[in-house]
Amino acid sequence: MNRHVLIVEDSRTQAMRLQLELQRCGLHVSIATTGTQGMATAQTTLPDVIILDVDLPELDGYTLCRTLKVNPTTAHIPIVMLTHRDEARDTRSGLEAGADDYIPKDIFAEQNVLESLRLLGIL
Amino acid sequence: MLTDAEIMAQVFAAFQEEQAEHRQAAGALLLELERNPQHPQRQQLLDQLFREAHSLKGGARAAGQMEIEQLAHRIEDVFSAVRQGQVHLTPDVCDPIYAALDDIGTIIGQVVAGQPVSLDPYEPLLARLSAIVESATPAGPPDAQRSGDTMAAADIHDQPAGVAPSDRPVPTPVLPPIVDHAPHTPDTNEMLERSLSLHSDTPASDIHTTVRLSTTILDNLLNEVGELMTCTIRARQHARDLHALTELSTRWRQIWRKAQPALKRLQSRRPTLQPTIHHLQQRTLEREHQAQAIADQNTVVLLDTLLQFNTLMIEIDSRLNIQARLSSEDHARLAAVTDRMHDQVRRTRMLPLTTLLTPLHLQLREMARAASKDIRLELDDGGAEADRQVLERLHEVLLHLLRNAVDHGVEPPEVRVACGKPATSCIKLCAAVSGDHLTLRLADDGAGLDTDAIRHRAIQNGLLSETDAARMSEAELHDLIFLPGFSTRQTVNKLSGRGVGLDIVRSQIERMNGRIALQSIPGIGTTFTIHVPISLTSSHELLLRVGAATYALPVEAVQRIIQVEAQAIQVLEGYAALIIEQRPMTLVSLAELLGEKRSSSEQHHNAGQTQRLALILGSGERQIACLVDGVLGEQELVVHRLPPPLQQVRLIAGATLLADGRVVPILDVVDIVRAAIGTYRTVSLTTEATAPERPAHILVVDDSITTRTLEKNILEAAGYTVSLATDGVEALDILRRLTNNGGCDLLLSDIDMPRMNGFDLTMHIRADNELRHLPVVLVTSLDTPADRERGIAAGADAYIVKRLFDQHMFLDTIAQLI
Repeated sequence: MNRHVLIVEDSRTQAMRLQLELQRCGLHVSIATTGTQGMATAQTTLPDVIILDVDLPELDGYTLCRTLKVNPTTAHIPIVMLTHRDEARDTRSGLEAGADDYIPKDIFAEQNVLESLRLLGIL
Repeated sequence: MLTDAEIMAQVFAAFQEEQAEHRQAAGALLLELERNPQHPQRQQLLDQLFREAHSLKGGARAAGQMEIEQLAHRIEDVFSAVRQGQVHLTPDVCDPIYAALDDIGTIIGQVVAGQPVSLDPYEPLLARLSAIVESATPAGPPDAQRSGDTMAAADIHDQPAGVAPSDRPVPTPVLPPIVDHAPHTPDTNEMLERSLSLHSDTPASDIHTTVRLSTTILDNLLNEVGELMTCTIRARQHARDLHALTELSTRWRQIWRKAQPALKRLQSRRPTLQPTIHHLQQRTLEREHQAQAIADQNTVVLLDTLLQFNTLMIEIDSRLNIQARLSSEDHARLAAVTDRMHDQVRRTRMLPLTTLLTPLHLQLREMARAASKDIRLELDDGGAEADRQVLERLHEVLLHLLRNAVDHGVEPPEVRVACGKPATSCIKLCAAVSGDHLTLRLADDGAGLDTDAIRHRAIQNGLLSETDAARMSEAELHDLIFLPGFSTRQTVNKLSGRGVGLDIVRSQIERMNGRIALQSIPGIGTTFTIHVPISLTSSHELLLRVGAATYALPVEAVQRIIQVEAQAIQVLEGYAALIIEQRPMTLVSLAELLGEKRSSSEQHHNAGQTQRLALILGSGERQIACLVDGVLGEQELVVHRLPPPLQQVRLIAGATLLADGRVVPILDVVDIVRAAIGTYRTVSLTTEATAPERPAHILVVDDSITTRTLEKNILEAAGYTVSLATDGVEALDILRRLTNNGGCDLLLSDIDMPRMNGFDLTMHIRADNELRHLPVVLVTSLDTPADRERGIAAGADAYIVKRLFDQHMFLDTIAQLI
């Protein structure tokens, strides 16, 4: 069965780019565009991994990450956070929130996500 | 599997849509913050503004649009500085941001058109944006957020080089030691609670309540519904035909009933007939008896057949009745479903009016700045919605009216203050929907229309005699400003817009089967009221017979239908006129306009013989009478827009399908009125209307090959002959050569050119005895009142701004001048 990736990203363009790249690798992808949508999808579908943007409407990425990590049903799901370029603060907050990896949003972002998924054993 | 190129194409398509939304939202937010620096929700708006720029940047990156990413990045930097209180949103800061947002749109256009994109033209703008950030003064006492930032900056230096994206190490989910002094305002538990409560409000089933669709799908869906409506009408016809058949069987029953007595008599003889036959066969009697017996035998056969027929007939009748009933029921169900479906598809195409109105804020700001006026725009969309197609067309119209209000309606601040009005003027735009119509009211608080100037201008143009002008009511005089080429202002102001008048606005609205009216009170202001249908996808059409063909015409466009008496048609100054209530009205025959082969003498001859029907079309001064061969009825029909290359066919606005599957063209009323009035003009002004027409010759002067080629293509497609020149000197050469060779009818010139610029070229032309009457249109990227003034002073007839370039306006301007 295909592994299931949930992308939580409010930019449709960025979400689609990732989605297409991941689908090409044979993954099943769902997309949520707000923090609350991401929370609901994560809790109902229990994906194999979540790729999470930081700056999200309604509920920011860190809070969402922390919430999922303290909830016993979702705590096991690896979370990869997409952070702002060059912002170490984000990295720290992300890890502090319990993320399993962080990837800066730059021109290598898509490649790095794939790399990260390999490390996490998803790909 | 998708290739990289396919992925990027799909991602770009998504970005193309997304960037437009971010740019619009950022523009609107920025304007709100610029206008109201003390906004109560300032911080939230700033955060949102930042996010728009940030998403724009991220999207551009994902879509591989590095140039856009650069621009968005600089915008984001400025917003970040604003958010930290280091930069204030003064016009000097906002202007380059608006420009950058616009430029992103331009780049997208270039990418879509497959043109190469370079950042070079945007370097000065990028530098300006950087300068804003660099000149940022640190804000007063450092707040929590800033201290956080400073620390973040320090962190960057502390990061091991390994985090560089190119060679990322295996991520280690270990908390860095700096965690204790990281500022952490809201308590984690508190935030958790908040997010959990948020979650409980959002059940999982709500996740996918909306989807995005391409508008082509909606257009196709609507076309399919159109076909379905045609099927419904056919189904109704079938049901009616079946009912008509059941009437035939009713007639059979009547005939049968009449034959009953005779049949009964024959039947009563039947028992005696039968044994006779036996008897005959057994005994073989005399010949006359034999003949009688055969006749009797035939009667019996016929009688049997008739009875069998009747049984069959009863069977057919009952089945027919069932079929007719089923068919009616099916039609009723189909009609109801189709109606609901049409209604719902129509609704999916509806957009809130705000999508149209919000961008107007920005456009007005720019116009007001260019005109050095201080103008506020108040919008009230009344929660109204309208079809996408209607909104697209209305945008053009509203922009034109706003420009008009800024240029002519609203007085300069000093004049306003002198009149005791507030220096800032206010333009109000409100909308309301009633039934299936949308009413828009655009009101300025300017000086109102100058009735005396209109009267004077009308007399000067030969539109009215002095006595007529004196007799006309204010409202009638106001109506004159909708006539082509009519303006009371002197050239500079007249051309300040796009060199075209309000007649274009009216044509646009009439093409939508709408109407526009204006009300003006001196010193108080002018109000335009626009009334349009909220959807153009179906309309009530009048079906007309012209010769052997059928045409449709929107019912709203027809003022009335009259029976024309032969003696009411007169020939005045060589053109046909219909005398209605002692007033002559231009009379045209639709057959002739549409090119049906009939000579005009035959036409008048026919008209003289019989009574005919005429439709009164148009409004106000532009009413015409249009002869048709018959009116077949009225129907609600789905309007299909014709696909390219048939979108610009003269006299035809679209097509519709009738119940019998025939395709019927829908006539364009604006074109008909224009053609009719045009005919009248050529006939009345020149006696040699039969001379073969030479296409007008236009000289295009521009040093940019792109602009030259673009303009040439547009003009040639519109039927003009085009010559090209690359600068003023070459243009003069060509013009002088052309004077001996048929001449040139219009000059279209850029301003910035080597050797001789557009202003000088215009002045040379005006100073030349042979060329001085040549209409000159300047096309330029310079758009300030001073430039316009300069162009007009040099003697140009119109001034088209490249940034506002619109093919229709462009061609309309040229058509007006030739």
